Amino acid sequence: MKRMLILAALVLAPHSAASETLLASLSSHRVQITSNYTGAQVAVFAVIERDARTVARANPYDAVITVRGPKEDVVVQEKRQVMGVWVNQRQRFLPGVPSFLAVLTSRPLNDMIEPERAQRLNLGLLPVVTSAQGAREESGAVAEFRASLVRLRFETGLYSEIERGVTFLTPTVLQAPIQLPATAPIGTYDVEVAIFGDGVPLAKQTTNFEVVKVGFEQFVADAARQRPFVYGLLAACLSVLFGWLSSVAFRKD
Amino acid sequence: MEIYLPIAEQPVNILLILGMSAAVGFISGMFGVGGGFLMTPFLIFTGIPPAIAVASVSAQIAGSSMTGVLTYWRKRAVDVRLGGVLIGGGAVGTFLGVLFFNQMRRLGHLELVIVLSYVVLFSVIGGLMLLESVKALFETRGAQPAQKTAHPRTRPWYFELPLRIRFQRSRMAASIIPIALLAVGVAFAGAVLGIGGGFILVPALIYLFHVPTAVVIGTSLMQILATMLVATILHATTNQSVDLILATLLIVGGVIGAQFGARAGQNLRAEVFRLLLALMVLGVGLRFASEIVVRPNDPFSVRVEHRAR
Repeated sequence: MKRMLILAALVLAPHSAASETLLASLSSHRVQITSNYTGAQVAVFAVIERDARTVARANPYDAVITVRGPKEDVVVQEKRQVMGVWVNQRQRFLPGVPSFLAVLTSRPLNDMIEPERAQRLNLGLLPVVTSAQGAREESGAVAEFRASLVRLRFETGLYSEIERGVTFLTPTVLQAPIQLPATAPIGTYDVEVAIFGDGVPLAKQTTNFEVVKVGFEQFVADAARQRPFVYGLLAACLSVLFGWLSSVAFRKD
Repeated sequence: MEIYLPIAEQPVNILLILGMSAAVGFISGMFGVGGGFLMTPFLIFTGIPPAIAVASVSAQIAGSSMTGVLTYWRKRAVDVRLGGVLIGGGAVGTFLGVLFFNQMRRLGHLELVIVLSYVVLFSVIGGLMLLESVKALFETRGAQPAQKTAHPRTRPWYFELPLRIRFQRSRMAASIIPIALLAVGVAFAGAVLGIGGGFILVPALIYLFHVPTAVVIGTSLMQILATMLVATILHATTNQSVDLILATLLIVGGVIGAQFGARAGQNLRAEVFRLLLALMVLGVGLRFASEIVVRPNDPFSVRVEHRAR
């Protein structure tokens, strides 16, 4: 029976059965934010497992690692000149885009896979953002705003595309550092490791890590959310107290 | 030296924030204005989300106006009665301004209205003040008595409206109707434009009501203190946007700067004070003008509406 199933699997999906499996792991599953936090680094390790049935490959493997931060809804605005002044004229609401996005590859994406295929497999910055959008209606205007979002985020470092960010230590062991800027928001980050052989996807593995506030930072954030009035009152009292202290400290007479 | 801000969710340089808030506090204590028009754009420029910048700056302004009020209070330069009228009128004006703001937002084109109002308001007021103070400076050079402006010869008609009150510290007796209307108007503009309004109130009290400069500063600071304390609590309760760490840094810098500013303000000659004030107001107007006239580096911008937790 078991043999039959394996046989059936082989017949129905010869590709995947004959293919490699992937084992991925992170150096840390929890990035803690303390008062001196200025960003962090999480390392990805992955091992490509082959067995006796795996076909021999002439070319080395390629890898693409996609890191997606917590989803958010954004509005992209465009300034235009109206009556001689520059004001926000057009805007588009883009729901569910990643707040952080990093695409690390073992070599330039265009060299390892055709652009249309990358688009279909959601590889690369723009394809990921497009797929996050559902991308049902593909009007030119929406695409323009989406491209602007990617460009602006790329400039601030929240989105990054790092060619050769993935290093193969041996032909089947790979490693990649994920750089988290300090502005990367808190929440869960999904890490997707995908390997390719001759432009064909072979295996995929997903894992995740979270960025959390701890200690005092957590306490302040909780207080602001759970006891907003007391928190506001405290802020107001601080102003009054410091204002008074300063006037006493700097008193001349 | 960096410190992580728990609400803004990013680190800032402690010394940069302290230095900037001290500079803004100095201006606040010297001119009797809040200084939010300088501090808020600066914070947004460093990457702090606008809502958090506005809310945390309101705590700073409360702090620096508190210390300023105390300093002017000791010099007997706070007119509590005048301040009370301003606060009352201010509450009405803020309420109307928020209503107008929401109405305009529904109709669209709010931004154009706001930006144009900023530019027109500040450029016109600043320009008029500059003309006047330059003229005044030349007149004093011409060996005329400097006391002329402090004791106007003719009393404007609006002083004689009903409901006259004596404002002892301000050395005037006038109807509260024009003063309350002024406060309503300033607070209305403030709520719509997102500014405290000190920059309109201070020159108006000096030029329209001939209140002595020192008393104007002290009283204006008293009104700003009341408004900003309420604003801080409202920001915290309605959208949890006050960052306590950022606010503390801003307050500490602000109260120290305000002390020096208040002292410097008292040693200034009235004409020089008005000239500097005019230049500041005009500068603000030009800054906003440049923002909309100069082609932006990037016509596109991103605003985060909602983030999943």
